[in-house]
Amino acid sequence: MITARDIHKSFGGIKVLNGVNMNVREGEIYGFIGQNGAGKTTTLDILAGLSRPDGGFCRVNGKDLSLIGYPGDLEIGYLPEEPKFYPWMTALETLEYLMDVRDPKKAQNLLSMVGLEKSEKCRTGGFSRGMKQRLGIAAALARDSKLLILDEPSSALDPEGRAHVLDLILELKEMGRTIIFSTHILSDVERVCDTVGILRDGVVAVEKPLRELKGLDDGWVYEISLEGKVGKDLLVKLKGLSCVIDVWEKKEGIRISTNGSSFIALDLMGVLVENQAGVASFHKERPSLEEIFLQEVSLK
Amino acid sequence: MRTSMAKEWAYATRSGRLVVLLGSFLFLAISTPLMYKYILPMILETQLGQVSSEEIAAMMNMGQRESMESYIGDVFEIGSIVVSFSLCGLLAQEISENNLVIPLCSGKRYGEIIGAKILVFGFILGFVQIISTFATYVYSGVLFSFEIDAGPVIISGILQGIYMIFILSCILMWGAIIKRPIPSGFATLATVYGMHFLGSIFNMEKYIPSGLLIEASKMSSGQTLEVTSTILPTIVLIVAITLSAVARMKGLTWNER
Ligand SMILES: Nc1ncnc2c1ncn2[C@@H]1O[C@H](COP(=O)(O)OP(=O)(O)O)[C@@H](O)[C@H]1O
Ligand SMILES: [Mg+2]
Repeated sequence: MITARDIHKSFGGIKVLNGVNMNVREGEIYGFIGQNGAGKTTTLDILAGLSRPDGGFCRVNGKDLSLIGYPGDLEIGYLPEEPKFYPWMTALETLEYLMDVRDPKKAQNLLSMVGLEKSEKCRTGGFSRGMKQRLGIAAALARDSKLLILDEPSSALDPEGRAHVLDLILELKEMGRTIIFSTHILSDVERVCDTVGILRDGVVAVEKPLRELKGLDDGWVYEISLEGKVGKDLLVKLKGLSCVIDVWEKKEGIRISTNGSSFIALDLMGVLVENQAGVASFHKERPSLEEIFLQEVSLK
Repeated sequence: MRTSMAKEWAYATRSGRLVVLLGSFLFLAISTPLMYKYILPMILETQLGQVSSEEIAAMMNMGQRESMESYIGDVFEIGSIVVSFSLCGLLAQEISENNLVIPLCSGKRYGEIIGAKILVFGFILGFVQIISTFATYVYSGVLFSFEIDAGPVIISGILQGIYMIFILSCILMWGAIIKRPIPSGFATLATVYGMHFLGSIFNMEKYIPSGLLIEASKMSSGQTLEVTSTILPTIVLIVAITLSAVARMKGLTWNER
């Protein structure tokens, strides 16, 4: 549904995107994460046809971005980070205006999907940030688009509202939509996403299925604390093991992601003993996305 | 297009723009004859002292025609300012506040957005001009006496309306270029007065928009709409300016910060 190749974008000489590559497959939920100011909104604006990249190639919903005349030609649903409406229009009027038909039934349906059915006759000028975000989601759904790009759909909402939006996102996926959304709330990504893309230093540093990223398919992550310094040759040897995917050096030891073959602990122990490393603790766990994210952001 | 026009109409009525425009022009329409009939003679009387009010009235030689000509002069000077600044945010604000992002993503076209504004506010401006010109006609007729036929007065109102639509197109073009409401308003006024100034230097007033107001203040009996020389150039200008606003929109990006 989305292919982005080598997207560059700067603002006033400051490089924000420095060769972004992305692949969003049909029917999946793609979580787009990155620190504040990483360029998530910048990327999504480009993908929605609202701003032009300085360089690179994008294909969105089957259309070459450089060839479209109007953002609307992409036929996607887009929720901006800060959805703006005309304050003098009611929620219902807003949706009818966006759908370009007078169809109160459908507009009411959309409003109740996002939990705004009680506010259909209220002017959007009086809406709270969270209500605007809900209306924005309804607006993104107004065209029955196959692809939805949502910029921080859950960020302005209370925990209950967030859960509701995440359920809605899952529901939309069931209905055959493809959804990409950005967020800095990692637990939201963990709950619903199929694929995660992490934006860092202007590139998508990691783009993997969530299961793979969390090591669920590949087995466990081992956390080993060592007495004394970690030797270079120890790291090299560990990396050389066939079951090891990656090794990170941490403050008081190492962290090893493995591929799920049997007797991994034995293999790891073997190397440690061979190198006469003093093991203070040794345990295996499933990493949280938060941890993976922090690792990606800070360690590399 | 229908929903876009409904949206503009809702804006005009709910934001108070319609009331402001109608109110301002009706105020001019009523106050101008009132001014000439009572207030000015009163001021002159206190200033000149010994001269009687009858003599002053005779001296000023005021009637319906003079009052209406003065009103049309006010339309050019004050009316242009009122229209420029009450509508300066029509496009500029929507761009600068990112109001257009969701409509654009929902499939609205630039031509539709601008076209709806021209149609709805063009209608409103035309309507306001005709109503207030007729109001000043009736009121000045009551205060002085009816010297002018109603037909030319309607024509005068239509010509003023077209002139205001020209201002509207300038507002939209500058809005798309400058993207800030108040500066767009000033740019519009500069364009309007600048064209008038150049027109009078080169003796071309007849062919420029402000020539419509010169034509509008004639109000001679049997006057018809002078289409080719005066209206046509302005209509062509309105279309060209509107199209350039649309073209400018095509070049914009929609991530204002
Ligand atoms: N329209 C813009 N004009 C100027 N700078 C911008 C604009 N959009 C984004 N930026 C800059 O790009 C950087 C990335 O911003 P953004 O994409 O909003 O990050 P995120 O959404 O990941 O928090 C920020 O430093 C921001 O100041
Ligand atoms: Mg953002």
